[in-house]
Amino acid sequence: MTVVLTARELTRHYEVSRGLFKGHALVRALNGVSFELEAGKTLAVVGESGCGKSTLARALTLIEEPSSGSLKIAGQEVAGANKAERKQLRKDVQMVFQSPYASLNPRQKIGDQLAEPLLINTDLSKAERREKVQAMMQQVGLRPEHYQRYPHMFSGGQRQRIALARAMMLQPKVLVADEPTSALDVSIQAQVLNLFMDLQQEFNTAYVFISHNLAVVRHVADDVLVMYLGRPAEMGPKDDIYSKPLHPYTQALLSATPTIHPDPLKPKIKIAGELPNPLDPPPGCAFHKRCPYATERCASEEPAFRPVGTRQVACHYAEQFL
Amino acid sequence: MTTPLAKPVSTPATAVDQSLLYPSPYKEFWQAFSHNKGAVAGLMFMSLIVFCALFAPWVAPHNPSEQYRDFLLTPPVWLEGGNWQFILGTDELGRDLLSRLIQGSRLSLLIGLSSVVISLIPGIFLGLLAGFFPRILGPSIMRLMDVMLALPSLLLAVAIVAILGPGLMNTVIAIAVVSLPSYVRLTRAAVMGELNRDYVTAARLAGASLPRLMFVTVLPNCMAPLIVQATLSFSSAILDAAALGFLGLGVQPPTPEWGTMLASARDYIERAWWVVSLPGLTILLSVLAINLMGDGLRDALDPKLKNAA
Repeated sequence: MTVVLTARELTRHYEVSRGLFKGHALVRALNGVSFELEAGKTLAVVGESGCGKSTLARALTLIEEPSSGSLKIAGQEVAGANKAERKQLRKDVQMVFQSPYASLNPRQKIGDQLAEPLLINTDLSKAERREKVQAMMQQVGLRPEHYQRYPHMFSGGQRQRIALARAMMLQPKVLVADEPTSALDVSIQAQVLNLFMDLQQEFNTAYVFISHNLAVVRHVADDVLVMYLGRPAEMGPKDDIYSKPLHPYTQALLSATPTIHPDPLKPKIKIAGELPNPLDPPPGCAFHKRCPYATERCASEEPAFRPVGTRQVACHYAEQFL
Repeated sequence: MTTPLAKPVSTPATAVDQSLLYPSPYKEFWQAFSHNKGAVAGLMFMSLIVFCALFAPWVAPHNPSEQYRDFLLTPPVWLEGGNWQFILGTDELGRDLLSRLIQGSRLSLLIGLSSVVISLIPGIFLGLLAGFFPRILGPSIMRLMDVMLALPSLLLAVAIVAILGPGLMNTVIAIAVVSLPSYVRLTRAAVMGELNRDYVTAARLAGASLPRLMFVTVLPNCMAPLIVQATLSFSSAILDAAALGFLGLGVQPPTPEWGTMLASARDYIERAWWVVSLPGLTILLSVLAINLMGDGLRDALDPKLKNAA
């Protein structure tokens, strides 16, 4: 298996103005995330709102430059790439957005929107483009007559399939999906997710699947990366993480997933408080103020993101949960 | 679907070009446009005016500058004292009002149309630039526009004409410059609203170049307020041209022009209302027709208001 996406200590900091007489504050939206992703595999990124998931997506899709760290797509280093290389990199990473209502141009016909990536990046003739678009439309379950329609004529699920088709037009090596099902009806979610997985098999695309729905993640992911306040908390194979979460935050997240038949023997772990202010993150472990197991060490010493068994965890006491 | 295919079997299975099953963009546009009865009425009235303007020497019953000294201030034909020689009556110098209105449509349409076009195109372009470059270029364009907005529009136009020298073309330019800021502001506001939407990011991810993002992705979504503003400023351009003409800086008196006719005949409103009212009515009707057309145009270009095919 070939590694198509490598992130090393990826960080993204934002400067925020706090008013006229105060200095700038630094928000560490993304603080040292590293992972590798193989072709045809899915990495799911989970975490609560504000943990840096979307910033990660924007950095991976080259919408924003990371502040530091390195990003390699298909063996090509992103930082310092020249114009031609950047153009190729653009083609290799595509994205599916959260809201299918905002991600399609309301004034462009579906066929034209799907053909746009081909028009810009390839030398295909008009007829060839049309043929490719029609083939892709068929693959995502759209009828040929939809070619001439405008986005408002479609339902949310159909639009998300169109957005997926557009992202897949150039057959990218990596597809970043930023909560692609959260705006959809529950009855449609499974349909769209299955389409994601079918296309992955077909094109052997690597997915970075961002979500806060753990049930969805369990369905699609190979590996799971749990993030907290811009930092990785735990990363490992899906089955290990779901069967035995090591980081207290992961445990709390999993225990918060609603189930139809709650297990009375497994008490729900409740975490108190809010996500800390990212302008003023707590010292030591970012999670220690909400962690039920926190000790003095947690408040002073920042835990390293280190390998524990089959995965990596950022907790001083990870071994005790094994 | 009623597509009469001559060779139903020999065509490779369902390889029928889908575009054939749909009307061409022009036909589609016309279908949407003709749905709007007001817009069609406006289009018909404007066609009439444009026809008159194009064929004025042949359509007009008299020479517009010919003074019939025996028929000063003759009322229109349906009033007492009117006669069929002068259907809409004559003005204070005995000139046929109908002929002057027909002849005047040439200049008035020219002033209205060209000043709108001359301000619309650079206005859209500057607005797009201001929206796309919010750091340095955008604010500098906007401050310049604010300076222009701060001056009373007519005063600014007078100043521009005074610098360039009186004449038709300079009048048009002055009016265009004065109405520029509103287009820039409108475009920039619309662009800033659209730029944050995901479809723009998606187009960027597809590798769209800056001109493509500007004109293909974003601009069509900003057109609705611009069309309305363009149709509205058509009428104010005609009236501004009249004001400039009144000050001796625009079109000079013997040449018939609606705004000038309206301005120069004010003194007779008590004795001969038609001399003032008929040019005013003509301006009113043309403006109404253009606004109706603009509404129809805006709706026909908005895919959301079209019916599913």
